[in-house]
Order: sequence, then structure tokens, then C-alpha cells
Amino acid sequence: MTIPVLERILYVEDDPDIQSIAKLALEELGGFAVEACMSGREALARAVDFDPQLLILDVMMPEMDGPTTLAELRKLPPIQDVPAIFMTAKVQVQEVAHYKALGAADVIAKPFDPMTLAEEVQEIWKRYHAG
Amino acid sequence: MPDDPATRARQRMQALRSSFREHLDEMVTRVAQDWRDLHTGADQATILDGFRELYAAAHRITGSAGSFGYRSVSEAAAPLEVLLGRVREVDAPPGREIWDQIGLYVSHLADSWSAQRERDPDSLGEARGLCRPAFDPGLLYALGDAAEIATLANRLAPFGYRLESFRDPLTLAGACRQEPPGVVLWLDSLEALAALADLPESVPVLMLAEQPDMPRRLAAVRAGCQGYLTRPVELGDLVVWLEQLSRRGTQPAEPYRVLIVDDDEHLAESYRLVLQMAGLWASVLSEPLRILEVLVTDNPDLILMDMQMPDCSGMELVQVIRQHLNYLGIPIVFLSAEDDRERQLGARIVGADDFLPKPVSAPQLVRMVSNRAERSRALRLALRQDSLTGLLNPVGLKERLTVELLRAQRQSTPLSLALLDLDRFRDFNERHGHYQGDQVLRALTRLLARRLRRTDIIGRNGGGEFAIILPDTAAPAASRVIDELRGMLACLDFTGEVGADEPLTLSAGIADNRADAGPEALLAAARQALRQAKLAGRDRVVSNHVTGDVQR
Repeated sequence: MTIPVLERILYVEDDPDIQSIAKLALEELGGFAVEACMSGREALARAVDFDPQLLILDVMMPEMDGPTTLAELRKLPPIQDVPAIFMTAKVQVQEVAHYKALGAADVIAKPFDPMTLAEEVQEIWKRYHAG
Repeated sequence: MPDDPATRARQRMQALRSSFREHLDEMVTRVAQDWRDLHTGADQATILDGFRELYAAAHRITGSAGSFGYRSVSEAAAPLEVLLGRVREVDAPPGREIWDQIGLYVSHLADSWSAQRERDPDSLGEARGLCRPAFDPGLLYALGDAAEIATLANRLAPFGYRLESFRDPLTLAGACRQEPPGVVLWLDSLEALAALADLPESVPVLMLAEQPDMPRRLAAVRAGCQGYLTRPVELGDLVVWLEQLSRRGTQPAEPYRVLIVDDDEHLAESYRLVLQMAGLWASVLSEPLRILEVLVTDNPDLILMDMQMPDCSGMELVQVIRQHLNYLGIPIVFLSAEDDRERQLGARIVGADDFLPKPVSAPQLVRMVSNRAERSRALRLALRQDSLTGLLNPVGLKERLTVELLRAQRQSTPLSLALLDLDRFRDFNERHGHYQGDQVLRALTRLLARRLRRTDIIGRNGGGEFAIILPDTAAPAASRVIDELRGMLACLDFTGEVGADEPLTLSAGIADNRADAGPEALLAAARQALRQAKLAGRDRVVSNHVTGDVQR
């Protein structure tokens, strides 16, 4: 089975510092088009127009956290089957299974290494499509 | 290539990083300030608000600092985040104990940041999170006669070492700077040692001298050699030296294991994080009554225990642990707000080893725990070690097999046990003498240690018999690995060294845990397979899956 080329990522992260470096890493090193949102609400408003192939969501955000945002996004028909990655503190990485149960394809730990972040995303993308 | 995407991204990241640096400085300063302000909070609502803000800040720092290369700052903020998270969940100001502990974590965060700020690494290297060794431990440089070095290279190859030959000390020094080796072997004259001054100090030098006399040894020490062997070198000795010298500055093969017993889960989790970030392995037990069961599964080198717990006191728990001969030696460190000398003495009498006053600072915790765990590990090893080879003896082996089987069962992973036996080793000993036999055993030991994974566990059952526990490995894969070792043994040339008249061979029997077999059954199955290998003509590997109970 051929794996589609990953081009568009919708990324939700409320911390502007983390958002800036992750976006830079994904765009410059991964060559992806990244639509970055500061909140779940913003993501909901922009998701359908942007038509993402992959979602990356911070877990802990005020108002709407990552899992809630994902559940809401999945209610939008075009986003229904878009795979998602959660980003969360190292502390909670043991809970990968828990996040997978919430519908995530995988989890990326924070802090992350910006030089390898894009590769990591690409790996997850391939694993996801390889089944 | 100045224009490749990686370089461009790196440059832009550096720019982002500079502005983040200032922001981080503000955040850490504000955490310290907010913490001070909390103490003067007018009412409970203000105090709780303050805690919520602190939590948010700690969370941000944990997540961001490391991604910008300030890993130690992230690590210092993580235990703080855990404790503040607890305050947030409970939504009431914490008790004195937690309050004080938060205070110490806040100052540790401030200290970590000021240490990082001073020696600011100006690259993102630290963010990579990869502790790439600064040298290649399997690479050796040798200075001396090329033919002699070539022979040595052949003998060392089965142990996984690559040897590069040099004639000229200056070229050698240059290579050491370009691509640092694990060890430099010096086969050249003593006079040439003067050139050692040109080598980078961090590269260890092993002298392979022609004579063992005192003046030469002293000269070698003065020139900066870390080891001295006389030629012709005995292969086993050489490999032991190489391993020791090339392991410099690396963590122990298996991190020290700590069991934290505390009824307060968050507090315990915060200690666990502090220890984990210092490279230790720690687990938390918040129900003290489960201690005996957890001691078997977690196999700690040290127990860190809260003195006051609801179901049973630390004092009582220590006495229960010390009722077991197996756990007489395990160090127990009490965490206690207790500074009553009399009570501390009482705790020591029943078997506690030390006290850490609460609240405990992160560096203090790490220092005390690692020192004691290191000694405890060394002692435990000594009691479970085979004196000839330094491998586990049958007692140690059985113990590890029990632990590893439980772990494999819990994680539903395979595990194999291999029994290896040198063929006709008794005859060999009778013909060549035990001294030569011992050399062979040591050479095989080094071969196993070099060729197996660091997670594999090697022991010697006596005579020419070795046992290997291979976690995460089912019998077919284990058979392949052991068969490779069998092939390598055949390449080890003992004819010159110990006067063996024919190549030595080994037989092996392998069994895996697929039927949840206990240690006894697994050992019996591996032994049975080994017997089959011997009966089938030796020099081969036989694997025999444990067949489970029919009812299963």
C-alpha cells in the first residue's frame, strides 16, 4: 500500500514559545505546511478550511484541553478520520495507551528535540498508514 | 553547505532561542517571586489563585525549556509541577510538609536556571537529548610495529574491537583529536612515551611493554599511561583492561534501582522524577502493606521510605523487611521530619540505615541515594559473583532469573534461557592444567560480555558451563545469537596462547518462557536441550520450548 505524502498539519498549542519552535521545526525541517492555533476553539474554526491530513494537539490547555478538542474536531465530517498526535509532558508518557484509547495515533513527549521533531512526526505518519 | 535546510533551520532556531532565553529568565524569576508572595497571601482564595498560577508556570517551563536546549531547567521544573498539580486537584492549600517541599523545588529551579544561564550552551546540542558518547568505545588506536598490531587486531576482533595501526605519534595524536578512540595501545618504546604529551588528556593509554620492571612501570605512570601489561599479553587480561578504560564516564549497565515507599503519591512521584532525571530507576509504592511482593518484582538496590504512614509506620515496615534474610543487606533510608535523635537511634536499631530530613533538596536526595545504592549494588554483586570470571554465580543467577521471569510475565514479553557448556572441558583441564583452563573460561567470559546486549544477564554454573538470560527474546532469536557465539569461539585461537591442540567448541541448550514456566522448569528445559546437543555430537545449539500444562 502506498503511503500518502504528508503535507498539511493542523497544530494546536497554547504556549507561544513551544508553538514557535515546533512550527519552525516542522516547516523548515519537515517541509510541511503548518496551521498553528492557540486554542481548541481556534482550531475548530479553522480546521475545515485548512483541510489537514494530520492533527497535533497539546494535551493540557486552558478551557478546552487536547482530548476535548480532538473529540469536537472529530464531529466535523471532513476531520472525522484525520489521525491525531498528542503532545504531552514526559511525566505522562506512560499513559500512551490512555491517549491512544482517546483516539490518538501516538504521543510525542515534551520537551522535544526540535532537530528531530519532523522526523518523529513522519515516522508516526508512516506507522499509522502501514497499519 | 551554508544553505541546506538543516543549517537554515538551526540559525532561525538560534534566533528563537535567544528570545526564549529572556522569556525563561522572566518566568523563573516570577515563579520565585510568586512563591514568596504566596506566603503573605491575605486569604485562602488568593493563596489558591497563587498556587494555580505557579502550577501553570511550572507546567510551561517543564514543557518548553527542554525543547530550547535547557534540559536541566525542564527537569528541575517537573517535580515542582507534580506537587503543584496535587494542590490544584485537592483545591485546598497544602499541609506543611508539601509546602516546604515545594519551597525547595522552587529554589532548585532557580539554581538550575542560574547555572544554565552562566554556562549557556550556544547550540541546540543539549536539546537533542541524546547523550552521544564523545568517543567510540569499540575503536582502538595502536602505535608500534604494524605486523604485531595486525596480529593483535585479529585476536581482538571477536570481542568487537576495531584496531587501527599508527607508526608516528603525531599522526596518532591528530587522529585522537579527530575521532577519539576508546583506548590507545602503546607498543612502541618507552622513549617514545614523551610523545604522549601530545595526546588529548581524555584518551586513556594502555602500555603493552616488553619488560615488567619497576623503573619502566614508573616511567609509564609518569608519562600518563593508565594501564601496563607485559607482552605477550594474555587476551583475557587485555580485554578486561580495555573494557575498564573504554567505559570511562558512562552510567552503570543497569541504572541503580530505588523503591520509594510513601503514602503520599504526589510527593513520592516528585521524588521519583528527581531520581529518574539523575539517571536512576525508581518506582513508587503507596500501599506499604504490599512491600514484600514489590521487593521481589522491583528488586531495588535501596529503599527510600517515609517514616510516618497511616497503615503502618516506617519503623514497623523496616522490621518486617529485616525479618527476611534476603533483605538483610538492602539499605533503607528514612525520609522524615523527625529530628529527634533518640527516635532516629531507635530506627537505626531496628534496621534503618540513614535519614534524610524532610523537605529534601533535589541534589541532596540524588547524592545520598546514588552513593548508598552504588555501595549496595557492589556488595550484592560481590555475594553473587563467580570469583574466577566475575559473572553471576548460581545463586545470583537463580535470583535474577526469578525477577526477569516475573518482569517478562508482567510485560507479556518473551524471555530465553541459554545454557552453554564447553565441550570436553574436563579433558582439556586434565591435559593442559587448570591454569590454562581458567584462561579459556576468562576469554569466553569476555567474549560473552562483549558480544551480548547490555541487558542480557550472564552467569557461570561452574566447570565449563555458563548460563545466559536473554530478556525480550524468544527461543528462535536466542538460538541465532548463541549460535553466532559458538562460531566466534571457534575463531578464538587458543593454540598459541594456552597450547590447545585442537579448537575448543561449545554446546548449548535453549528454552523460552512461552508457557509461563517458573525458573525451575525453565532451567530444566534448557538443561534437557543442552543434553540433547551433547548427545547429538556436541558443537551445536538445541532449543527446546517449554511445553505448557495441557489444561492451559
